[in-house]
Amino acid sequence: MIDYKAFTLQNGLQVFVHEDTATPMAAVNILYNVGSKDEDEHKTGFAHLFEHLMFGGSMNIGNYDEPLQRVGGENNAFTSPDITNYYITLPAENLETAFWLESDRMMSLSFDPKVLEVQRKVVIEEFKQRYLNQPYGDAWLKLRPLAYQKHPYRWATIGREIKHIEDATLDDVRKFFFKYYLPNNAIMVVAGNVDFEEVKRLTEKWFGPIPAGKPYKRQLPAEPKQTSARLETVEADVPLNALYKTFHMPGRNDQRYYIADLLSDVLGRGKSSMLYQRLVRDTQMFADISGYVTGSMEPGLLVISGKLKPGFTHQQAEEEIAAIISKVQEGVSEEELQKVKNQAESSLVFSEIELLNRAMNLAFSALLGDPDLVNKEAEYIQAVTADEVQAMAREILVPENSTTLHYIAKPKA
Amino acid sequence: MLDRKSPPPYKKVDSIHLPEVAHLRLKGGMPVHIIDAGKQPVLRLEFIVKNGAVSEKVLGQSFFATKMLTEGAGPYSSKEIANILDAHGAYVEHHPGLDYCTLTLYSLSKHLPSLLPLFRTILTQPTFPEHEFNILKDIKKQQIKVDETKNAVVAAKRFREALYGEHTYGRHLYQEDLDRIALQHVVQFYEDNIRNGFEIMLAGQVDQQVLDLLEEHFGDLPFRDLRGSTTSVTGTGETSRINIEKEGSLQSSIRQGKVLFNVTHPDFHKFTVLNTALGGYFGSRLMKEIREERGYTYGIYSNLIPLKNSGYFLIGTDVIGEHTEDTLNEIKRQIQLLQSETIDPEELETIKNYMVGTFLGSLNTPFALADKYKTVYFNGIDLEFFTDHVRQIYDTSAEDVKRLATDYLDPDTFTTVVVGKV
Repeated sequence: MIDYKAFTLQNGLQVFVHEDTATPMAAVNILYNVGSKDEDEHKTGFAHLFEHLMFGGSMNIGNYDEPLQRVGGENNAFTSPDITNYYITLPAENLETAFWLESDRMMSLSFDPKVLEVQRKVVIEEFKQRYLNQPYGDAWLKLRPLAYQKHPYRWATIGREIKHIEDATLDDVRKFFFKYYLPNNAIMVVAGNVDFEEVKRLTEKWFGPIPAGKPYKRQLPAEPKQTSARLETVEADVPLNALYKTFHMPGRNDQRYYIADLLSDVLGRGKSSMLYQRLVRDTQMFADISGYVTGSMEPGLLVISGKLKPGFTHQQAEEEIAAIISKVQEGVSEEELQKVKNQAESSLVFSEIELLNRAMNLAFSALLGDPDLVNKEAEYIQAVTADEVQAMAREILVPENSTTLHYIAKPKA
Repeated sequence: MLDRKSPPPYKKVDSIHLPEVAHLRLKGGMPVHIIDAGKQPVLRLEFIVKNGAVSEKVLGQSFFATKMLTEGAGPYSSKEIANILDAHGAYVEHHPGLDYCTLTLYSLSKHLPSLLPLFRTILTQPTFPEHEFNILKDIKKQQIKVDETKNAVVAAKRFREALYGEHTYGRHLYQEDLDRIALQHVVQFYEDNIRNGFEIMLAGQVDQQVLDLLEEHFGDLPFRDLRGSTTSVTGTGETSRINIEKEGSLQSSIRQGKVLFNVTHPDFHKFTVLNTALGGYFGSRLMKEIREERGYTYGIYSNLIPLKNSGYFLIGTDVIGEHTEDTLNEIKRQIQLLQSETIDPEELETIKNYMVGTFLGSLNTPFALADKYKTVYFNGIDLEFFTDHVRQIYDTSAEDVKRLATDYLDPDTFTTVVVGKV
């Protein structure tokens, strides 16, 4: 249970306060309602590049990190297809430093060309380190444009290609900032050893003077219903053959999200799951395999992915996976369902141990439209029935809703 | 008018609340260390033996002995164990380490009564089924194959091998090792080095009922105090440059450093200040120069990695292939600057406050508190270590930083491994 109180500034900034006096720390989480799905298709990877630029100095503060480190704090950020999220943890008595830093960069950046030049290089190295220079690192670069044809989830957050990052200009940076980095397009959570009234006072003091901007109205093309199976085969310099299979499923704003999430758990969460038991243990066809969901706000993907052992073909793997899918389509036992519900319950409770996680979960729930979702999720999960899981399996785990990627390990020369 | 140019006033962290640790011994002698903290109804039970790969006669024994504990026990098959754990939303981790082996259970408190009987069986009656052993071996073989294609993994392995040579601290499992190890070796390791050697590190919401459960299920078990080796390990002392060319690499993985010491060394605390300055945080000199000035990398870090009977200093990064030599030269230059010029008082102040603040933040969860406690317990020192840590960080002078850089970080004593575009 995460308690919170909330208020909204005149400029539209939504603020949630979660008091926890057991810790000497405070967490400040600011979620900007912009992700890679909001990018121009010819300028992909920009939301993430922009996140890097947010650390390059703001209107009145030349260096973002140093003053925070000076008061014993640390920070980081991440960008996803849906959001850009910035967070700080610091000793609670130095809370005001976080307000000073975050409000200044919400007001305006320094737009220093050197910062863009360097961060462009850093992001390109990140692109290589995490996506190109790793076995299977490019899987999602290939899968996304195959699974999505219209919706901007069709490119990865890091970007479709390095060229897009190379081409970003300072003018793009400015436009992006003034379009999305607005108090009325942000959600702030302040958590930890803090006092609600004091947070309110500090928020009005530091964020109150920031003018609201023109509200961002998101209009993204919907992904048309998929009508035939898609398959791509790539030969790559990887050690083992691999298989990725995705199925379109409901987004986070749809109650049915929880059904599909539990379905993915039945298929492939943990060592007792159907996929693991059958494919890793019984047939020993796979070195590993799992099932999970992308968890995106708008309709996302249920994913099955694994690596094949030498000597087995993709054809054999496909047949086995199809057999397991048929099995869940015939029904899921109460016992099996209770198992995955218990796993989900456990994950939720464990995710609340860290103060910062509580802050992030609260911010994301608020973005989904109901901050209290963070406390209701457990009920929603418990309410799912075996019939619903079966119906979901029949609806989404069908060939015409599937996108498959086969990696073929290039034979060693 | 609001002054946005000047930072608000701040306070230095002056007190650190350390974990309170209770100890007890179950009737048969098994030690239990208790960190009762946190608001969530969860528990982490670590079953730890003070023995690891260093006690092996055949490479891989401790790895498989730890992994095999949950592959069959008493009447339970591997699948049944997995089912019981998952059905209670519990999560198990195996940590076969160099010096210690740990089996960790994460569980909601309410499920403990159902899980402890299973754990008693796992710890005392593992059945080591051959079939499961072969599956694990084959899976491990595939994982090694995948790891061998990751430059960063290859670099980290070769680096430790160069530092410690034939000593276990320098050994890794390779595919051919898996062909040598047999089930009897695994069983032997369990009998010699694991059976009845477990201590319990318990963290989370601990009440009398939990303690009663432990007594009920583990109270009658005898305890062997396994101490393992305490001989200091100094490493090969060789300084070498190892290049491993990987065709088609877009980056080079660099690992550089040397054998130093662990938490029991008198210079440990102050050395961590030097390490933070060089590469231990986002504002470090290496991050500023190699990432923020030149954009050669996504990240560069340095660290002092403690082992039970040794410790090593490591600088690691993945950089643009063409800039490998530039990067190595710049690392050297940054170390030389720390040796020749006194660190700026402002920079030192920031580092100290950052270190103490993040240390305070690192005491945030019951599990993190238990991890801190393990550091002192397994090194035979007491909790004073952490108050001392904070005091010594604050006491570190600019001269100390210079002296430590000179004494310990002579670049000519480093071993360097580069994997990728050499």
